Amino acid sequence: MKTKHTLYLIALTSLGLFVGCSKPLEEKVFSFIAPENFYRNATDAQVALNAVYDGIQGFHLADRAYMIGDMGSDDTFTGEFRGNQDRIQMDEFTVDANNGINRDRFENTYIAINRANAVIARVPTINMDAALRDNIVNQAKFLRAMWYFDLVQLYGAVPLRLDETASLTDVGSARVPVARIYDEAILPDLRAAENLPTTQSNRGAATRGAAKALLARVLMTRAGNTPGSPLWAQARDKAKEVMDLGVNRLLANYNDVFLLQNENSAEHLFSAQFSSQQNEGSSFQVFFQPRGINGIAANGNGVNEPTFDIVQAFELTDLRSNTAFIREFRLAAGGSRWYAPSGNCVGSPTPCTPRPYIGKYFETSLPIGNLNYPVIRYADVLLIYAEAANEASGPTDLAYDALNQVRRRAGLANLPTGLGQAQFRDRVRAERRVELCFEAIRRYDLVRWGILLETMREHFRRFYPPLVANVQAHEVLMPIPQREIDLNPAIEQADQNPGY
Amino acid sequence: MKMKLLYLLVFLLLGNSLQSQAQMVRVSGKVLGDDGNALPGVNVLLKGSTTGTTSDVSGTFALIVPSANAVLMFSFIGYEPQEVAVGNRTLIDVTMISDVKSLNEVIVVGYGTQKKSDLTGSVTSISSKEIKQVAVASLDQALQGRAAGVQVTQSSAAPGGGVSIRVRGGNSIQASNEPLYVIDGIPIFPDNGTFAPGTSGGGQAQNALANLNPGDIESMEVLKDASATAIYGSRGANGVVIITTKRGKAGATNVDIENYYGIQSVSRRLPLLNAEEFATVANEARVNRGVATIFTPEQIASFRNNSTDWQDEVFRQAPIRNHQVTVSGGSEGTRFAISGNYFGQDGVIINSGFKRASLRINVDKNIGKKIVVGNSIQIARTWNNQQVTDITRGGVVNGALVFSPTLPVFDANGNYTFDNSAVPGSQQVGNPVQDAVETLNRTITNRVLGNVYGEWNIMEGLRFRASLGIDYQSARRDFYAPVTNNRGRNTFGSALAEKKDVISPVGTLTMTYNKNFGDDHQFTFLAGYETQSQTVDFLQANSSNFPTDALTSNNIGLGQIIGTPASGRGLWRLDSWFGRVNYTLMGKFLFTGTFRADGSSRFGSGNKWGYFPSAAIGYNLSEEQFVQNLNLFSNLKVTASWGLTGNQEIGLYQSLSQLGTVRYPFGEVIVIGQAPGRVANPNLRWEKTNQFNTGLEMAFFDNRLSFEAAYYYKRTQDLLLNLDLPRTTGFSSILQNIGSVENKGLELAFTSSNFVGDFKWNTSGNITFNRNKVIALGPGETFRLAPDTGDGHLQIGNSSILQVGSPVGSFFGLVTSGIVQTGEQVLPGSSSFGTVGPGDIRYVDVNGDGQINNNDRTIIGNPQPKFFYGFTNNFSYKNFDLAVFLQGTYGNDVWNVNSHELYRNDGATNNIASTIDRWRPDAQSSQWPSARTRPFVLSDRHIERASFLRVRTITLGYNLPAAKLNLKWLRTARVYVQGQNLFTFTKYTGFDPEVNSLGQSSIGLGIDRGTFPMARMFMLGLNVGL
Repeated sequence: MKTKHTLYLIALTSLGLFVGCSKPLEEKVFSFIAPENFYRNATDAQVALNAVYDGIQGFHLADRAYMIGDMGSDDTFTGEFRGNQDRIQMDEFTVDANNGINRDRFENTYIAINRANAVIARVPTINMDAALRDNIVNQAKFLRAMWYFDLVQLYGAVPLRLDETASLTDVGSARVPVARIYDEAILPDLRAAENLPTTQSNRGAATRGAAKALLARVLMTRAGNTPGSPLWAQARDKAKEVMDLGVNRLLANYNDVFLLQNENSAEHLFSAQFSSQQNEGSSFQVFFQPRGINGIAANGNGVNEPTFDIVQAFELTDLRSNTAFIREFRLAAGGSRWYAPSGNCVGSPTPCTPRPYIGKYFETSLPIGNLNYPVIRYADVLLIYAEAANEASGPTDLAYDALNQVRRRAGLANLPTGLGQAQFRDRVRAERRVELCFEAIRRYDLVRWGILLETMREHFRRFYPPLVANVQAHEVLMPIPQREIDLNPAIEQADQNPGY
Repeated sequence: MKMKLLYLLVFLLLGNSLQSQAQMVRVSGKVLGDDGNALPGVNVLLKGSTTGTTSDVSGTFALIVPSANAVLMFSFIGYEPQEVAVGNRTLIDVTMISDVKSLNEVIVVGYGTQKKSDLTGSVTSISSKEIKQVAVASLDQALQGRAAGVQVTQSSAAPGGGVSIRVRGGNSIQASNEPLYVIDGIPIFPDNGTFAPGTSGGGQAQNALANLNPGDIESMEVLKDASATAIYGSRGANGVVIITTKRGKAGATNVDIENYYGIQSVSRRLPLLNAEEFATVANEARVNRGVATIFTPEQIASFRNNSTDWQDEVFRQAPIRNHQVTVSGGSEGTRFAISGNYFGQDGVIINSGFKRASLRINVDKNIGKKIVVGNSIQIARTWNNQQVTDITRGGVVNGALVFSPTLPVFDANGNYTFDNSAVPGSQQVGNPVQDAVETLNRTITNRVLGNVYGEWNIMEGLRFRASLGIDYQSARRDFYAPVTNNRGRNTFGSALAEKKDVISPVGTLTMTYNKNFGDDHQFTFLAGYETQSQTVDFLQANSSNFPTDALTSNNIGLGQIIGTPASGRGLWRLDSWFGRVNYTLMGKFLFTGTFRADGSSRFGSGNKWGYFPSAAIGYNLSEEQFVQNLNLFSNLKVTASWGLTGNQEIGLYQSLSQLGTVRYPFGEVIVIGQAPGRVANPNLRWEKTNQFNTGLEMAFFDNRLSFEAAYYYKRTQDLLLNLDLPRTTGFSSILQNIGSVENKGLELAFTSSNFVGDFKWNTSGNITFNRNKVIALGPGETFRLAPDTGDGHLQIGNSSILQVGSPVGSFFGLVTSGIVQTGEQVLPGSSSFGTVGPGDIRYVDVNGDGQINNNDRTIIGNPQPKFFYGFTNNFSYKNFDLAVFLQGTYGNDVWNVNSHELYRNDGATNNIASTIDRWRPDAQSSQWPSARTRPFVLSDRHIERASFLRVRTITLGYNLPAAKLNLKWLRTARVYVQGQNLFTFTKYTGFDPEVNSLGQSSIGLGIDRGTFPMARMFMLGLNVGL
């Protein structure tokens, strides 16, 4: 009987011990950090900022900026192997509200903006070195301004969110007028970012020069194609401030600007950073290179090919042409393939393909994927100066000088003196096109100048007549993605950009 | 600490053996079947003990029994059990009565057993005989066609591939809909993703149950209604499959050796264009586009006898084999069953296959009269060479379909044709043969599943049971794509190694009490406590850019680009209390009440505990005199039940706010960032399913004919469903308890002994009609477009819709009406779908606004069947037997995703042969458009009826009459031939209508994208019992 009692005892004890454990159902977290345990010190602040920078790499953002900026212009098209419907729409001017490239651009930009909002709201409450704190917050503001600037250029009025989304009870946000976005986000953010240091210990982080250069571009864009706008002078002066900082300059050789070893050089005010390591690589150069060829460092996809239009935009002696287009493609198996961007292989070594491919971004050794994608270069600043100065008060000597600096590096003669304002305007626009080709700027410039539609119609007329009719007035703006309209209670179908 | 105490308990139980003495009598006799033949293998058990034996080949048995009061119980599968009082006899001959479906059959239910006649819930029992009738790699496949209400879909026919099961329809939209498995008392949720170390770049995950040997199973019970499943509370809503493995019985030691060997081949190939036809189409498409042709007439002529059939190149005949040895038996005090198994199945695609080696040891030991201790344990190792298939781009099946037939596998130098870019305008696809042969995609798993238990009969009717179980799986996956093939070319060789450990301990304590008050009131009480947790640890490393392909993932450090390593750990815990009362009144009124309280770590801080009750009543009408007077029914019972069950399968940590880890390179210095990832939802709670069930059982002619019918209605509320957010919030969605889904249906099953005697013919069948629909989504939300479930590369956008009033998984797209003919105008807007004029596809203006656009999309298909069924006929004549097993579905649709490329007709991909009748100005087809590039559009052209009737198996066997041949050493011997998937009658034009590229997905159903094709199999088996 004693045994029996022992058994009872053990049974009960084991039952008790099975159950007796304090807070057994509290979820134990091992592999992630909760926001409540974060934003506590300077390290957290920098780590939070790093995540804002990571927003630059959002899908269909910087690494594929060309899919809107260049493919949606007269500079590139989606190539011979045109399978992807989204890219065909971009290329052929048939984008609709369900286009994936457009949707990703819109949505991932806002996801990045929310990260910036978190830093801007939370970091100022951290007890830390004030200078470092301001530096971090102002970098986040720079990035937020960059993204809102992109949004207003592509979509016009967009939702304005300046606070981190903390609760999901009120998820709607209406489109607000472009002017408000500039006045409440882009301009104040960039003015704050002008206080950034002129150099940063993190290579590729936003600097005072980057903020001023972006602000110059913003002011110029605000001026639009309005002659006599006071904003032209502001843009000119802001560009001049960058030139006077003494930090940035043109590299001696155009080709050097795009070499891996010159990343974040004095010419690069701001670039989207990529590294081949840890899945942080860029893919754009692979997308640009010819398909079906086993190269020594890359096997291209050939989905973003230059048009003959941009090839012909280069003056014959322009050295930049040799950087912009592939001439020789070295094969893994030895030997080379040759390319004739003009479309004529006469005089070229063989085997020669009479087509242009983008050669501006080219890593020649493994591993590839390290190349940055430029956002603002010093050459752009010079051209902004030249354009803004000309619009403000006609072609001044300094405007000539800025433009000629760019031309001389390209091995071209100075502009003839004595040009009228309109003539100078044509020259600076032509210069922008070739200097900044394949840097996802062309479409924005065409929109800014108000000549997107006529330019595209002329382009299609010359090179692919069936597409002329596709170019519609509403396509100056991109459509708000249908998914956003469906989900955002503050945006109705009627709020869609007209024509979509 | 707790574990240690339980061990101590078991140890003490073992140590306290109590022996007894009594007067012993030897009885012997012979057991005959109702056909007069000796019946070997009959279990003979002394009632109230575990003493027993089995009859030998001549049907004789002998047993020592304690006294003349002893009662012997005779039982044998397929016969009615008998009890015989020994009295003062020493010679007892027994004739067993064959029985189609015994009502006294004992059914395993949650935490116990019940006589079938006492059941109030809806439970289907599947015997080992039925399980063994189909050679399968994993035990879940054995359920197919066997149980009403249970739809089994082999989502991938790859060896060891995925199986998806719906018990009475899918309750959930986003949480998993797979049933809970309870294997020898250990609950296992079979989420393939939890157990698989990874699938990136590879296709569907390996079946989470594939490393458990189906040959060890004694019985499977599927619990379907809430009366049966509510005792599993928060995990009961999707149904419960209880699996019991074989245990030893006292008596002679039996050795069973089972072997089969078979050959498999792809059951259906798709007819594609040959090289000449393909080149002609490619040229015509270029002409229609106004650009230069690709192939010269001379080239086209040369293709005439020079076409590559890529399906021939990647498919093969592949062997399958299984060898199992089971030794079982034991003495009065100790019973054992041990087995060893080897299963090997090569895939019908080159360089694929699955192997499993497993051992099982099940032992029961009596310690005195009151205590039994024992264990069941299985140790298994599997090797799985998978091919890249399904949605993954560059899959072998897709490659074999779309690759240009104009190119050879090897070029003139004997090197692989690298990809098809030599054909201008073609879709870039790697050589599928090279990709298949040169890519490593291997998963190796080791699994231990076992428990130890102690059972103590404290007093008459009162039994305490403690068990401690563990499910441990350690798995590793290796992936390597070399620079030489298309998969590795852009990364210059890429390697991945992933390791995952899943460990899940479970402790269960139950107390059972049987008490009768008089003759009319029989009670069974059950109370219990259970705690289970599961920890998943994973570790992953990857790199690319290899100077040589020689070392693959065995030396990841050799890659020059180091990918981000990853590791992680997740833990969930479930604490539960449960109870059940069974009350039988006057032997005919049955009452069952169950209750479970579950506390889960997965839910919001305010909703940790959920409570799941059920109640059921039954009425055994056949016990009533007025029914017996009818002389019609041998059994008549009606039941009704209601209960509440839950679903917790939402993954971990969903209620907590979370920061996500991201990276950014400053220059080449990579830094870590923490970004807002998820907003907290402390209110997150269970999905709740209310289920009402009513059942009817009828049997006639001494149970030779029996029917079962059940009607059920299930409504699932508080669905764990992501509420899509406008992305301007910075988030894409948040998991909430919103929405509701309804399933209702009718299940019918019957068994019939058409002939008895020398020629026997038994028929059984089941059929299920389930209707599933969405009742509600988020607040004010009437529909929701589900994300593209096909293949991102096709740019389809949304492929399915969740719409209030429609079934989950409904396909959503445009409606077509043939081809635009000459002189016909197309509607505005058509051009964005590739329709500009004659020869293009004609789309229907569904909303009547005069133009074609995305607003014309509508529901164009339903992947859920109107009904599904299984039908079995077993014939035997003397020593020969024949079994024919049919199974099928009706009324379901499949999205033939492959057809988007195969109907393309522009030379970018190869096409289905019938597209050769394409539209031309001089031969205006109304079915196939002209040769021209068009965007991929999801329309009813790609949704196909996938009803099928499959001859799943035909088995012809011969049982050697060992007794007649007087072979003392041989107990049984059986040789059989079997054909599997011999015929499939369907209008579906893909490989096989039973498919889902998305595996266990709850929303993505009936999707066929480059999935491993079904095989037809012929096999020869030999079973020997010694």
